[in-house]
Amino acid sequence: MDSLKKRIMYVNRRAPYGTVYALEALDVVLAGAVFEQEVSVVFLDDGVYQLRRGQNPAVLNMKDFSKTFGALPDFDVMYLYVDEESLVQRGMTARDLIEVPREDDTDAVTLISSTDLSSLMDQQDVVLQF
Amino acid sequence: MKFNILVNEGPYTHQASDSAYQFAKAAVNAGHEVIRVFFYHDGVYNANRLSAPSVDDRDVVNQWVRFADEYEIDLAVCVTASLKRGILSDQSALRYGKNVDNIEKKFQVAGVGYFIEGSIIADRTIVFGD
Amino acid sequence: MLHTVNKSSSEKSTLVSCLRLAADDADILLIEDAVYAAMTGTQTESIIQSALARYQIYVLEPDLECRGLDKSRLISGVKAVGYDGFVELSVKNSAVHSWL
Repeated sequence: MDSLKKRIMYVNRRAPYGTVYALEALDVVLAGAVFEQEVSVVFLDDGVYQLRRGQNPAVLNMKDFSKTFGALPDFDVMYLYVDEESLVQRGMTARDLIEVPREDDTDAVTLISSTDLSSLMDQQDVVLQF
Repeated sequence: MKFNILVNEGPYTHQASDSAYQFAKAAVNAGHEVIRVFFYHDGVYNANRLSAPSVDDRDVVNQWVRFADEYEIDLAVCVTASLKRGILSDQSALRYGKNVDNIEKKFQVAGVGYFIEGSIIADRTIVFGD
Repeated sequence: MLHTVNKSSSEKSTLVSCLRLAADDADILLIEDAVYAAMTGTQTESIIQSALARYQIYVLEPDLECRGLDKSRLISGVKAVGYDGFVELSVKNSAVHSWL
């Protein structure tokens, strides 16, 4: 681990479209990528709805940013952690989520338990919610 | 210690800007340095020099300006977030053919990467939002 | 890590999520509308009561006073701090996670 790099975690807890937070948080992840820090992106609580399959914001003339998640591995964001408990609370499973293929075709969308997320969160230098 | 502060909401609707201001003031009073206050989402409205609060209320825009003057604090608004919300510098007003600019001069306009850079330089980053 | 929560626990689940994920040695600071959760007699009192076994819990005094909440009715074990205390907690912990 490069000690000069900071560990930055983005925590998404809001559903998309109802407010702009999800979209503008993703803008920060993309803009922050140039600094080449150790970045992780987490979807928690209503934030898991951001990754739901089959979004069609075009029907309301809104920007479809769910496709932009697909670009994250190109920006060196290799893990999109989804809090498993939040999924269960919302009657969802991994099959309800979009896939974000990495270069080697594995999926960057990764379910994580409360325990693992708690310790990952605790190791961060910067934690950002929007 | 160096602090980097993010304000995600506009003045008057949410307490975020007030809380950030009180925190920043307490930080400098304790001998710390606030290296940057970045305004994102509706937080860009904190830079609106056309804000005209009633005389019996606090002047949120002005208190940031006075604070920044006194302690030489870098205030920055996100360019993308501010343009779409009609918070324009003189240069932007010219470029987009608008007949008025409304950014208080003490605020500089920067990409959101400027905030992430702040979080890398600073010892602590604190977010105030809704 | 210092976790701040700014939402009323009777309106939003923010506090519950924070307490589910904050690591054991964390400090929790209730600010803005979250300060109501620090008072005795609310429906969410038991959430704070059980969290006190794992965390040090603080409440921002100016936000209490602003809302007409009496410090003498704080849940026992919750500590009131001013903005100077908020700054100290931010310095003492290695990072600040603001739950919104």
